[in-house]
Amino acid sequence: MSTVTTVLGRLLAQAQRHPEAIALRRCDGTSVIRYGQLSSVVNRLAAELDGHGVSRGCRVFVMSDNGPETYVAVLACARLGAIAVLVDRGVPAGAVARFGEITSPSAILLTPGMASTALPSVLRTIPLIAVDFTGDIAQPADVAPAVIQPELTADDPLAMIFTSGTTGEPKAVLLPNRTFFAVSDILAREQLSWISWVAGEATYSPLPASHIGGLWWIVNCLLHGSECVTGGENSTSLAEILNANQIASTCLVPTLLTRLVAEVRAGTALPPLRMIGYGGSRASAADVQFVEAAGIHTAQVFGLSETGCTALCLPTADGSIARIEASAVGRPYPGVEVRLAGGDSAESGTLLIKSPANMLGYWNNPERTAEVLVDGWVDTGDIFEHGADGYFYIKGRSSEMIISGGVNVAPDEVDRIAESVPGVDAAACFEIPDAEFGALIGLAVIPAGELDDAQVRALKHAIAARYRTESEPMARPSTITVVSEIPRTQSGKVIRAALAAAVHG
Amino acid sequence: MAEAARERVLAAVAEVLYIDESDLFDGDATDLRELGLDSVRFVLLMKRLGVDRESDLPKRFANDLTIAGWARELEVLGGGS
Repeated sequence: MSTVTTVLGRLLAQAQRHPEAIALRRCDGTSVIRYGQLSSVVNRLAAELDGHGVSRGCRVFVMSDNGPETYVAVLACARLGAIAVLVDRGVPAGAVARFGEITSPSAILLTPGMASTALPSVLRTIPLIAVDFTGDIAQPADVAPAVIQPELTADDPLAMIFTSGTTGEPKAVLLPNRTFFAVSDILAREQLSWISWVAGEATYSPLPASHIGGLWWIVNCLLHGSECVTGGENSTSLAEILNANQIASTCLVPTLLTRLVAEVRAGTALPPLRMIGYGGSRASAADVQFVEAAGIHTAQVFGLSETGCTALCLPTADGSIARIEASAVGRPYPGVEVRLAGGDSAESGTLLIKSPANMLGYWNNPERTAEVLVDGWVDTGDIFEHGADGYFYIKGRSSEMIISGGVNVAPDEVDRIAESVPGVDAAACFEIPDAEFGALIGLAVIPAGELDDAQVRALKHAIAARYRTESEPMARPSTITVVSEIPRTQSGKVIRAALAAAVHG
Repeated sequence: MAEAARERVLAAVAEVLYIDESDLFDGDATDLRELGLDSVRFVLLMKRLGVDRESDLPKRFANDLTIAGWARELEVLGGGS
């Protein structure tokens, strides 16, 4: 386990061990960069930023395409002690402008293929630097102009990402260096293999770098000497990318895990995976069981951007499938403190997390920071039960709780019951305002296949029957509607307000 | 007339409780609570059957939670129309 306190310091130490190994590349084979070239490329880009006056603590927009250039841009900011602000290139210009108002960037790094005209006009006066290391990548490190390396600690900020937020107002989560190695240090110290990395092994991230899961995974993999493969966002087949690139480990959101399983079930060869990490929303136990039956180790990770990605983990183990079916998200890593607050009992309530990976706060937003981060504890806003088996079982988000007839109804639990009915591919509930009860529960269901009217009726009856046996009255849906789509965030979380508007009007 | 009232009650109950007629294990005398009738669904059914919530009718409906009982009440109300 390294004692170096910064991501860049650890990475450059790793690079010296295997300089010829590929650090980053796209899944189409382009933008290859080896560990031994990282220092040179990072220094050169850092020198350009330095030339534009960027220094320690400055914010730098990284217009992310999730490829190698994006991660090099993050490291170049780290070289100066500047803060990389990850902005997905697909975000509408209005939102990018708002991100700019919040963070006041000193420079903008453009990944390949992005024109400056795509930026909102208010940001075009800020220095723009194109990140493109093809062509002159072979230059040794000492050719790059020298820039002063500030002395940084694990608590110094490295990156900022924006949370989608259900309130609509973006929040910039400020993440320190320690976010990106605290958990792997714990696993190494405790000799746990819940999540594991192998130097030289190919790993693939289809997740955006502007998403905590994508950024955390690739940075961790770089720190462990993995061959990090990214890109392929427009590919129609996840399994083909994994097979073609001989990927051994990957991180997925549950919707992508479902896609992978569906592709393999449909006849695509099972990729040579050793491990799949997944999280971001509730996973299908059947999907996890399918890949585990093929000998692939899985690890469900639970956490938020604010907890620096994963704080709890549910790895493959005896009984893990049954726990996933019951909405378990795992146990905390040793050294990650958790407690439940505000619930009906000590075993149920809102989960608070004190992790060495926790965020520093929301940038330029002390009010919201004070609401969420208190004495080092992050209020997840998620309602959990602490099972007798030591695992935590998610019941829903406190902000999403539907109060029906004075009873708190946890939406995730309602969804879970419907999704346990054979013939249901996905289900999500939503709130129907009601003058008498305050709210009633509506349920939207995507069937597993094409159904005629009689089959739809039978499926609805089966779902209702399941609620009669498993659910308290107020949590039973008053209406069940078959839909073709359930609106979700990028990480797979149900957007319940949009669902309610689409189904109920 | 009686049959029309019964059909109306059965259609409403089937729709709100998501059941089929074949689920009425004791025929029209089946206690609807056994098939998931609760306070929420009772209110939904009263609305669907056009029962005046301010009258004493809901109480009468609640006294006999069966298809047969409700059909009788509807007949008394006005022929199940």
